[in-house]
Parts: sequence; structure tokens; C-alpha cells
Amino acid sequence: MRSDWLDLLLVGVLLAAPALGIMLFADAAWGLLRYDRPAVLDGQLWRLLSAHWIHLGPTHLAVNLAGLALVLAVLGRLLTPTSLLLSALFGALGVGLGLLLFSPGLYWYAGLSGMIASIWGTASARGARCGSWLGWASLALLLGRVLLEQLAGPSPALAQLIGGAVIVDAHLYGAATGVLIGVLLPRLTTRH
Amino acid sequence: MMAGAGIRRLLEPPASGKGSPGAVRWRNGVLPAFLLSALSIITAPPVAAGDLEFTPFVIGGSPVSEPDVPSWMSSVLWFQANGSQIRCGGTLIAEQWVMTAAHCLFGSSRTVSPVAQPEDVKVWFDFSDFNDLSGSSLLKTQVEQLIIHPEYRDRSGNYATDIALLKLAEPLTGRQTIPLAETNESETPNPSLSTFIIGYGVSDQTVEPNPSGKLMEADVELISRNLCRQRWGDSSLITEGMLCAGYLEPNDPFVGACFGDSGGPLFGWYPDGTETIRQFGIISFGVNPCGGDSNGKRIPGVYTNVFMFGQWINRWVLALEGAIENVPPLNITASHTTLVANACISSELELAYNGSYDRYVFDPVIRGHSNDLRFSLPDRSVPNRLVLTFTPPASARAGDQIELELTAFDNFGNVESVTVDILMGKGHCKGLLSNDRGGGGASWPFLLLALLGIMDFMRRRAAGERRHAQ
Repeated sequence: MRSDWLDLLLVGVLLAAPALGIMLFADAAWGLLRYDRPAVLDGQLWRLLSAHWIHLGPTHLAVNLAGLALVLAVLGRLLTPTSLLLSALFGALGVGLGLLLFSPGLYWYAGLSGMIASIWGTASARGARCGSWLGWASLALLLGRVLLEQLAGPSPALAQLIGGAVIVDAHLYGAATGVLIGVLLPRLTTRH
Repeated sequence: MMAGAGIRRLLEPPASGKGSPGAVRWRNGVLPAFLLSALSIITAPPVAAGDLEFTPFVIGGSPVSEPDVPSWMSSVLWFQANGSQIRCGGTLIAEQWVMTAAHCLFGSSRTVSPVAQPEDVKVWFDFSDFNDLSGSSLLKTQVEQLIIHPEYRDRSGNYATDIALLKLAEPLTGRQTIPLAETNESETPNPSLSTFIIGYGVSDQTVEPNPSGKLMEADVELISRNLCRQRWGDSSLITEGMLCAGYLEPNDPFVGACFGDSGGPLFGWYPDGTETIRQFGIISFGVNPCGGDSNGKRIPGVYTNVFMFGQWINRWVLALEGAIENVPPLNITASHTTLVANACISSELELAYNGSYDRYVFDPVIRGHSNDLRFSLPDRSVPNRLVLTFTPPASARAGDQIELELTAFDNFGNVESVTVDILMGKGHCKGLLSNDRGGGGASWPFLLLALLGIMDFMRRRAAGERRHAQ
């Protein structure tokens, strides 16, 4: 199940590029694209997806891109380009829907971190299914991370760094969606 | 007087031309398409002929000549501080008391007082045309007190108590008053009743978006509450405190109340041979264009059911007259004059009132950096105390200032405001509403993941070397 690294890189860039592009028009995009609960409930459903590609600022974007790069570098061999793409898109949707359905107190959200958790979850689940020690170890790490975040909350230092609070629920929904995708869609996405 | 595709209160748009004060907001519920379209006029400019879809023969009623102007019929005028004027109808129900619609005493503009004050309200009698007052025996009276029904909440979506009383500065001794209805005609109206409406409002929307100023009169038919609910498509809207009147068949005349007629009477007489005129309703709201036509569906006008408020009216007019002099001045105090708040974090502000009378707080007016400011007034009905919860915007920066002005009024026409300065605290919790928990770590998982990556790389490299050695 070794991935084509060039394809993976391309998909990764494809995922990251809109976020970079949007930063150039941050002010205009912010109000229109972020997850905004009242606006979503008012029918602006695109925000469920678009929120993942806008950021609080360059630092927030840089932290998330670094996270995406790290996840792809370490777990990329457990993914195919198709599974990466599916994980990113469905993960983004899962985070949006999760926030909408299960986090009614959250007014707005932005950033790639939920989607990164989804990619991490998909790669781990796929690896674990194949008996890869990396898959199991990264899955345990992801579960530990989500669990600790839920119990203890996010890092205040990171919140200060990115200029906003870390919405740990997004990581939870992203990880759950990602693991589900990794478990449920192996045949579709596995390269033989 | 006239006909109507959007809901609107039937008072006159302000002369300044800044929005329709009669526009209403719906609270909830699935509304029929015509009501949704109606909502669009909430912040719309005053009705203009070109904006309306209606047939050119929409004319309701006939003019009333000056000698025939009922002595109890009046025009209630609110001269606002910004120079605009709100006109409504009113009826003399006792020597010193005029009855009108409560919504006539509320403005939509933030630049003037949100609720009328007695000194700004005048009541005029004995004229048939605002445009020709020279030859009339016009009687102008001052207002001493305004009594708004305590359950009325302007722009709340609940119009079940759209009634107010004006106490005149001097009694109009000897002047004929209009007796009130003795029966409740809301559920199943008596088909033998003859009912009419009268007012100085818009008489022809094709040519005149603003009230004609001429007194017009027209006959309308009372309609049962159930049928009215069906036509409005909202069963909760039409309450027992309302009457419906108008016409339902497509070929029926286009007659009904229109802008500027609010507060005026729905009156008539019982078939008892005496033809004693009684007031059954107060013109309250209807659809726009006036006359009740929306996409081919006739929608009745809605009137405050006077019968249901007889006790309340009598309490004021008869029992408590004179006692009003002892009403204490309104005083409102806030728990803070300056409050430090953080972006996205809910803060609370407590307001307190004096006295034992009902006090109400008008929607807060927010100045300064106010984008996305969310606030809620959980319960406006608790007397003497109110907790305002607000959430400063995520985009607020440290040092930003928000000024919150809260205006309170009571049903004696007292108005008082309090201002609270909200100062944004330093860089705290941008992007978060509910889970400001702190603690934990976010970078360690990625460090461990990197470690896993290195281990994986080394394992695979070692495995490769082993394979190579074999």
C-alpha cells in the first residue's frame, strides 16, 4: 500500500493552496467563509467546508501547514492520494457537522486543524487494519491526544501563538470522521 | 383607507422618510410565502407606489365631509424630536381619554426616543382633511399621560395587546364619546352587525404612498377567527384579543385600513334598531398592499378586540384616575458603569429599577465596535430586575470600547436611559465561546508523531539493510 509520494505531495499542496490564497484576501473572506453557527443555520451551508481554509492569521496558518506537512511526512505512506483527498473533504464536512450538531455553544470556527486530525485518523486506521505498528502507534497517539484535550482542554500557549482559542471539539470530530473513513472505505482507496 | 402583499402596521410612515415605523418582525414559525415577502419591508423605506403590486382600482371607502366627522374621532400625532411625525387614529372613549393602538407610540428610529412621551403627542378633533385646516373647527388637545398596555412588546412578534390610552390634559366636557363593544365578536361574528372603519390614512396606494390626510370611511365585514387564521396561515398569530375584518372573495371590494389608519376604530351597531354606534376594534395590522390581497388570496385586516380589554380600560379610566399622579419617577441603574469584557466570552450586566410598577427595557443601542455583538435579554417581564447577557465580537481588539445604551420605559410614559461603557480586555480567547478551559498541551502529539516518524524511518532503513545483507 505504498503511496505515490508525488501524488500525495500534489494532493497536500492542493489542500494547502486555497488556505494560502485566502490569506491574501483575509479580511474579505473572513466574514463570508468562516464557520458561523447562526449563518449556517440560516442556510449558508458552504461555511461547513470553507471554514477549514481560512485562518486567524499567518501564524495560525503556518502552524496548521506545519502540522499537515508533518502528518503527511510521517503517515503519508499509509495513505493513497484518493484516501487523502476523501479524508480531507469528508473530514472537513464531519468537523463542520459535528460543531453544528454537538457544539451549540460554539459561535465560530476557522482553520485546518480539524481536517488534519481527520487525515491523521484515516492514515492510522488504514495502517492499523494492515497490521502496521506505525498505524497502531499513531492511532493510540491520536486517541490519547483527543482524550487529553477533551479532559484538560487546549493549550493556552498554542492559543496565544495562533491568536485564538483552540477548538478541541473540532479535533475530536475530525479524528472520529477520519478513523471512520479509514475503517469503512479501505477497498475504495487502497492501491493494490 | 385601503387595501393589501406584506404585513404592516397601519400607522403612517414618518414624514422624514426614514423607514416604516409600522414594520413588524416575526419571531418564529414557518410562514407562508406571502408573509416571508412581507418581512422584507421591515427595514424598507416608506411605501412608494412603484414598489407595490396592486390593481389601480384599489380604493376603499368614501370621504367624510366635515359636518359628518364623528365628534369622537381623532387624529393622534406624535411630533418626534427629529422633525418627523407619526399619525394615527384615535377615539374619545371618555371625556379625558383617547384610545389608540400601542404601536403608534413606538418609533423605529434610533435617533429619537423609542417610545413617545406625553409632551410630544397631540390629539386633534373635528376636521376632515389635513390639507385644508383653514375652514375647519379644528380642536387641538394636549396629552398628559400615555398608558401602554403592560403586556404589549413592540416589535416582539406578539400583537395581542396593541392598545394604549392617552389621558388628555383637559377633559372635553360634553363631547360625545364612543361606547365600547358589549360582545365578543372574535370567534363567531354576528352576521347582522354593520361594521365600518374610518381614518386619515392612505386612500389610494396607486397615486399616494403617504396618507391622504382626508378622512375616509368604509364598511367592512367581520370575519371569524378560524377563517382569519386560515387566511393568515399562522394559527398562533391571531389571538382572542384580535378581531378580523375585510373581504375574502376575489371579486369583493378592495377595502381596508392602510398606513396612517392605525389606532382608529372598527365601529358599528347592533341590529337592535337603536343604531347606537359602538367601537369593536382598533386598527392594528394587515398586509401590504392594503386591502388584503396577496397573490390572489384575500387576507383580512386585524384589529385589537376592544371587548377583551374592557376591564383594563375601565381600570384606568374609572378606577385609577387621579391615582396616577403618585407614580414615582422611573429610575434605572446598571450594575456597572464600566465593564471589562473579553472577546467571545459572555458577560452579564444586571439592571435594576425602582418602584413597584411595570418597567420595560427597550432593545439596547450599541455604539462603537459592535460588529457581531450578541446579546440577549432572557426575560423582560421580571419587574425591577433584568440580567443582560452579551458577547463582544471576536474581532474586537484589546482597548476597543463599546457603548451600550439601555432605555427603560414604563406604562406611564416615563423614559429613562443608562449607558454602560464596555472596555475590551487584553488578547483573550479569540474564537471561542463556551469552552475556555485552558491547560493540556497541543504540540506534544506532533512531537511524538515526529518521533514515530523517525522510528519508522529507522526501522525501515534497518529492515532494508538486513534485506540487502541477505
